[in-house]
Amino acid sequence: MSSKTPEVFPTLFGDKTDPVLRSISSTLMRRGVDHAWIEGYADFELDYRVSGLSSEVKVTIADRTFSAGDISALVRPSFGRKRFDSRDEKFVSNESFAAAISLFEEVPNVIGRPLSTCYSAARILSLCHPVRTPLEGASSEWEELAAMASAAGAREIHVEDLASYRREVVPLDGRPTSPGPWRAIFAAGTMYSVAVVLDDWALCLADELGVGEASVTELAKTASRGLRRVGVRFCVLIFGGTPEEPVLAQVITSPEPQMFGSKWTEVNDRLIEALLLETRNLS
Amino acid sequence: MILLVGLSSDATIRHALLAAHVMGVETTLLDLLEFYKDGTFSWNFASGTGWIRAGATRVEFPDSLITGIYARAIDLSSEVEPEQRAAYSSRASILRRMLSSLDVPVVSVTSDDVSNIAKPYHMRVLQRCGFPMPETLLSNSPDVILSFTDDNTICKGVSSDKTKAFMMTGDDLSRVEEAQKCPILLQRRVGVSDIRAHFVGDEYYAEEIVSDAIDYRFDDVPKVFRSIELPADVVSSCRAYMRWSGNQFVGIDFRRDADGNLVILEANPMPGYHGYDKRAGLKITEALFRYLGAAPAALTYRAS
Repeated sequence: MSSKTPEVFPTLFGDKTDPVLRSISSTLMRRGVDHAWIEGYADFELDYRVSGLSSEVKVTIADRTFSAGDISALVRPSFGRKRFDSRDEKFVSNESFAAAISLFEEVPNVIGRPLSTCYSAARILSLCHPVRTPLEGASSEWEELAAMASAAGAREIHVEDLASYRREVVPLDGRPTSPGPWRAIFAAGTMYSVAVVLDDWALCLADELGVGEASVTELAKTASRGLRRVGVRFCVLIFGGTPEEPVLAQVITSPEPQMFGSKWTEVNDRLIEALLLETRNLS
Repeated sequence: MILLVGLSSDATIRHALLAAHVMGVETTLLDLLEFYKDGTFSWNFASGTGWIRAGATRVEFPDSLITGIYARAIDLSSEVEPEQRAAYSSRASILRRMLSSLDVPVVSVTSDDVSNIAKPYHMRVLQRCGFPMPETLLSNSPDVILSFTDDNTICKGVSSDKTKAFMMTGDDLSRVEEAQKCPILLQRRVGVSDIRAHFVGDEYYAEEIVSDAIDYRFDDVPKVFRSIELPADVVSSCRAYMRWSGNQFVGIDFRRDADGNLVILEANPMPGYHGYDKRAGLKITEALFRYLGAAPAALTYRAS
């Protein structure tokens, strides 16, 4: 830890190899902003109490004790959830993750709430109303999926193999290389527009659809409003469809720096700004 | 007809099938394990139509004969070999999604409420529904754990993994350093008896269990069971939770304190209700089948 103390104490939760945390920590250090990087429960003490109709959370990091509103947190998927091979390891992994969910639901300023990863992709997409989402099907029978796509007026089928999660784009008269079963979205084309959102801020990362960067940004802002209900503040949204009728094809709630290319520096700075937001300034 | 989706080896599913037979309610079972292993399906999410096959059973949707679905769609992915986990998990997820997109009542497919996977967070949800909670601590600090623990403190799981609650004793306190790597959940033990209430739609059935057990589900001690009515404010808070969760079949656990008040412990979104139902003369299944659209005539039997 260095010496300068901001209004809230920024904390980073996740593996030391995580590229997002490495970048944020390095910028904070360069700016002389005091912060902590927590890899696991051994790095801090948690005192979380529930009683009657209230709760109180205290987090002690290197002999300094904070209440939930005194810290901000950037949480990556590597925190609290461990790979497991045995039944005992599975139990510890589930218990650790459950503790992480509970802790970060109490902290007002969190980017990457673990609870938000528990919702299905379909549930996340449904929160993005009124932005349209693509027609979808799922099947173990390729011919039936192709017939659904054809009836939906699709030109190609964007397929995800349900066993391997491998993705590919297949023409209507083609066949995927994966064995299936598959989940598929029926797409009008292979062009995509992509935007990153952090709270009220959005940035267009790509506009293959040609709807205009400002429109992509506005669409992303509109779509992401409902996501805040489940604690998603930082995400990448991918729009497909046509320029006339863009549809939200995917929401990535734990984006990696390589998705941002040359715009990572701007995203990095926005993340730091959000981490330094005082709790009372959070919408 | 009611469609049951679950494991044929699951005691709760077997109970529901037997109860249906006794009541003369027509059911079809879609076996979950067969579906996860090599079931086939086809689904159009826009129209909510398609079919699912598991073993020899194939069900088409929509099917005007199916009035409701009782789906204990347990995710078995953590029970199988690592190389099979993704396939089992994605099939569980797609099955829940297919069943949730139907235009008939479906119970025990928890789509909106995931709070039960993390008990402290779940308690906060219950507080918002009007339930005061017993004094509870989540901590990884040996000092904090030791200062919280008295001779009336129980330890229970943080996650939804099924665990047996136990009273903290000297032996447990000597191992408290182990909590540093993974927080533990401690709770002040309140009350003199346990209460389990099953809510199905607008109906409920509650049972009080009087015993000296720490965890009456597991402890082999004498128990007295009696059916009870819940206070109106407790029923109102239970209904608030059902509205919040969107779940129309829940099993809610309480303790009765020394003053006679009920203190909630947790709400189970997929209750294993068969033991309570046997003692209740199948009243819970009856309410469940009624909610799922079983013909009233089929429910006019009287269990012996």
